[in-house]
Amino acid sequence: MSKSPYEGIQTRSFWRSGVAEQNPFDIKELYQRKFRIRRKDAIATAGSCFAQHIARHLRARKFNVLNYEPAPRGMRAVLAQKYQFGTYSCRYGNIYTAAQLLQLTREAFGQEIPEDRVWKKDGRFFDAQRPMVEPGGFASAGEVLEARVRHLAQVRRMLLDMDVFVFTFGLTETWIHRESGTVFPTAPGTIAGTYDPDIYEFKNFTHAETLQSFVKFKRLLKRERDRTPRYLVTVSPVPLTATATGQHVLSASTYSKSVLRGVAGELFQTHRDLDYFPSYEIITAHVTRGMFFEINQRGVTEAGVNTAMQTFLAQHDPGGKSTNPTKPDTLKEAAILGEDDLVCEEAFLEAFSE
Amino acid sequence: MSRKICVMGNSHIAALKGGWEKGEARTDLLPDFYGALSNGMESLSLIDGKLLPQDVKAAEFYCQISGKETGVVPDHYDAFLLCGMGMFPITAFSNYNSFSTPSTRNTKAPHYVSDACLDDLVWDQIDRSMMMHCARLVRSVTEAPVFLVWQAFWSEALFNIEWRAKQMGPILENRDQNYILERMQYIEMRLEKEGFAFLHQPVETIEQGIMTKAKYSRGSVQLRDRLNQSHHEHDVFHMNSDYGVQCWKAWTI
Repeated sequence: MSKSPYEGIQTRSFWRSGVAEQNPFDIKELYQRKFRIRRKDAIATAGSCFAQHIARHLRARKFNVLNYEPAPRGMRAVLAQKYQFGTYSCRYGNIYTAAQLLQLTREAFGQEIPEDRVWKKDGRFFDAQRPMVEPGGFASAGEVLEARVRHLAQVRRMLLDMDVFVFTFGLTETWIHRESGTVFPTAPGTIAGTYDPDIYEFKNFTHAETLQSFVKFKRLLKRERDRTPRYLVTVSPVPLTATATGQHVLSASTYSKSVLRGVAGELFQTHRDLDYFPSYEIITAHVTRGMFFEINQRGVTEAGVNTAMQTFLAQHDPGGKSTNPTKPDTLKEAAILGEDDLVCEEAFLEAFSE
Repeated sequence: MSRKICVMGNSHIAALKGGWEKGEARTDLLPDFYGALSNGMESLSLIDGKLLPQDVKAAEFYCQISGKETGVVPDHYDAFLLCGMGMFPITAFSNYNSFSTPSTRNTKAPHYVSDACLDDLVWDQIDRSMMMHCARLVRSVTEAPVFLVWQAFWSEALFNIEWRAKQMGPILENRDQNYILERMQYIEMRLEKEGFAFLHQPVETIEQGIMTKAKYSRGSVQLRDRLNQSHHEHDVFHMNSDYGVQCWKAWTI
């Protein structure tokens, strides 16, 4: 009989052998897959900006990452990125919160119509749920809604067809329509729309609310599909650009990421069909001494992304050859695309910094 | 006094060369024809004050076809006319069945994007074309007018080719010709700001707004020093000398 329950357990369970004595670029056994994701599996991706890296690396390894709203024929990568083709499996832009994911899914299955669907800016009309997919907007609200109808048809297809859903939790902070509770991916007035405190209010989701939204999303898919997909969740290591809580942005960011990490952990513990991939830990753990962050201490370096993805692929594609993930042809549109070639609406908040 | 015109292009100048030789003589113009096959004009450069492809084979052909022994001296010409070389809104055509826009009536397309998205796409295609490489180089070495000519619309003979018929048919059925023409107008607007002018396809040669009448493509010949070799039977891109005749009749240069 053991003297202690810690006696004889694996070396990865101890900080010294599991972390302190490890190469931070290659922490052994940090991730052990719950189930195998194969190249032929139909993989759909969604989430916050960091999720774009996952799709890019999976495609580079020839995984079957779905793309139900492909770019027009002949469009180069840099232009495709401007219009958010191929960023995710559909052109929904970044889905920062679980509530937004649930709302989109309900809308795609005709169970909910969000309020305040069209935002204006400089005489042009934008889809409030994905204001950056058409950077110049449309000429009328009708055009926006027509585009949304076709978009939702593709989202529905994707949700029904996918074998694996990869989702990166990004934020807890969001803005909602007071009367209806409709959630938006960006604050009104940031990219389009106008901020009116009588119409919109700030919301910082709790652990319970975030968990509930994701569980409802899963239940909805279970009802709509013959066979439920498997899920892989991650938490974006990218801190908040700005907070509307009134707290210091570091504290606000820590709250947000802690909630999301807690939700991901609880989902992992309680759902057999859901795996958690610790890209958050790989990037943010203090053993890396911040070296996986850009100079602004926010953006993740390519080395960080590569380290995270190598850890992932070592479990899901151990024999695969590494290739260079496709990047935009040029960086001439970097101002639009953000500092690390991701499409990030949230980064636009920086423009409001004094 | 005749204006000396430098006509440059790829295989598409064969129709203009043939048309000039076949048509009624215009005494106001004196054109020289310079060209290289396929992508040869991509290497057009200014070498010792002369416009000449750097690619040796292309340069050889370029001089041979012109009947001159040297490259183009920019100051020798009163105007430049550039044709072909990828100047065609192919991405507007090829994406029509999959992408509708506010300007189109194709409700069957699975995707809906802004017109700006398609404009950006077509612009990017033209902006990177061999035509614009040559046109901007010419623009940089002369103050003479530089006229750009779109490649002729595809011949209506395309309906003999199943996949092309499937591509073109819906545009015509939906009466969406203006969608194509608006994309071209957008390109022209941007290039006019760069100092270029446009010469348009003669109305007489156009069928249903965005195709060329079959009689102007039938028997089109390849660009050779002697224009006596035909393009293959199903070539819908290249026009014949009769097309060139119509162009020289219509254009004010």
